[in-house]
Amino acid sequence: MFDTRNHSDCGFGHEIITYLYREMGSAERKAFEDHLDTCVHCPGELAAFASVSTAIGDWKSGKFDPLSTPQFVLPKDATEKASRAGLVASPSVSEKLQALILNLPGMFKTASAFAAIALAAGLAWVVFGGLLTPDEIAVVPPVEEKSTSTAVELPVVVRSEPADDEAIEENSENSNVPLPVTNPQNSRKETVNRSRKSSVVRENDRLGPREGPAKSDSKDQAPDKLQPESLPAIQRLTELAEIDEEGDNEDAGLRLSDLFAGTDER
Amino acid sequence: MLTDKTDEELVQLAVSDDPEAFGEIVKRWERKIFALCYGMLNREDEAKDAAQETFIAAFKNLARFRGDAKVSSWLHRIAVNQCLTRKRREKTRSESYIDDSDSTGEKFFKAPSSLTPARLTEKDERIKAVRLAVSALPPDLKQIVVMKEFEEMTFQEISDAMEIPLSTVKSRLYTALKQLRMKLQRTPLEVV
Repeated sequence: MFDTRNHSDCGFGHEIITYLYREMGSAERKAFEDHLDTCVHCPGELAAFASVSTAIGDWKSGKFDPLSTPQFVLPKDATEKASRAGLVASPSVSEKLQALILNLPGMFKTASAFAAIALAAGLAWVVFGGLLTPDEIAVVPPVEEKSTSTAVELPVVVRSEPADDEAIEENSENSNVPLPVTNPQNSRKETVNRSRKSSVVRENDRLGPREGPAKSDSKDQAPDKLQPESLPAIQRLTELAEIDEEGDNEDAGLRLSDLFAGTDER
Repeated sequence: MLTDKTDEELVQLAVSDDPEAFGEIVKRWERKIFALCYGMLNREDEAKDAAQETFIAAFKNLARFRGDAKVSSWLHRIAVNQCLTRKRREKTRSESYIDDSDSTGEKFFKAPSSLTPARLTEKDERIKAVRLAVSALPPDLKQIVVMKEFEEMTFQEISDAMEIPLSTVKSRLYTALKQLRMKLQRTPLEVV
């Protein structure tokens, strides 16, 4: 745009400017003043530049200097915008991430929440699951030898009939023992056997009162708690008791032995 | 004490949310920036607005201030950009700066009482001619003239503020004065 070389005809352009504005050192100034005494171009150029500078000075002193410096006040919105733009402190990465999540639409917020839960669950599995051995993880009750199924199922308890107290008592007696894992088919067979036994008991109950005299309620309930094999002996014992009531107690010991002998025969 | 700190230290304090630090920067530079804007724009109201916008822009961009640059350079660059933007805006409106400034600036002009009316008129004509000539300079030359004459900065300070070599500053000023002299040859320039 313009020539940056020294424009003075005698090559002292920079010195003329420096001398004009009194920024020249004493030794340099002395040397330049010696040059001015001998040069035919520089004194005229210096005078012309001085006139221009004085005119600009007059402009400044006449128009600008009387002006008072305006009071610069930053408007409120400028400070607020500056603070919002992160003038005070730039937000950290976590704050940016938090703001990003908060500005997401609702659907993405839900998805982010599920992702966070899944991540936490995965971390928990990695941390806690990795500490356990495979044996500790697979805590399964002992399986019966007869069982062929690996499925873990609770035994089927048939409570359809109130007379089926036998099975209930068996379970109640063994309540402290861990329930065995049984095959559903096996448990069904067992239930069928128990119901067959229950039917025998009911048959004896049905026959008992017919053959013997009516007794107290406690005697009526007693056979239900006994084993089915001992029921004929009980019938005989009842007959002997009736004989005792008639006063014939002499052959009681013999009859009792007969009674148990009969049981042994069975 | 904020007055003992450098401009760069004040900027760091201002970034750290110290409101008084930026106030100190404004206090140090408001007159010079106002002078630069006045010299570039030739209108008091425009110069005030440009200086105000300069400090607002600086405040908003404090966080972006490069530590290796000088605050003076930064503020001057913002101010010159503000002035050039306003100049371009005014050019599109086809308005004359000089004619407007004559009417707005007269109330602040107080001539020495020793001058006769004839001398006053002559001086006014001369000032008007200089203002026209300076306004016609290219922006980079005009900035150097204004910084030297209005802000009364040294060559080294101008070099630092504009981030250009010292020799370039002198060359530009030499070129500017030469062009001004040629433009003002038709107007008698008497040294009062």
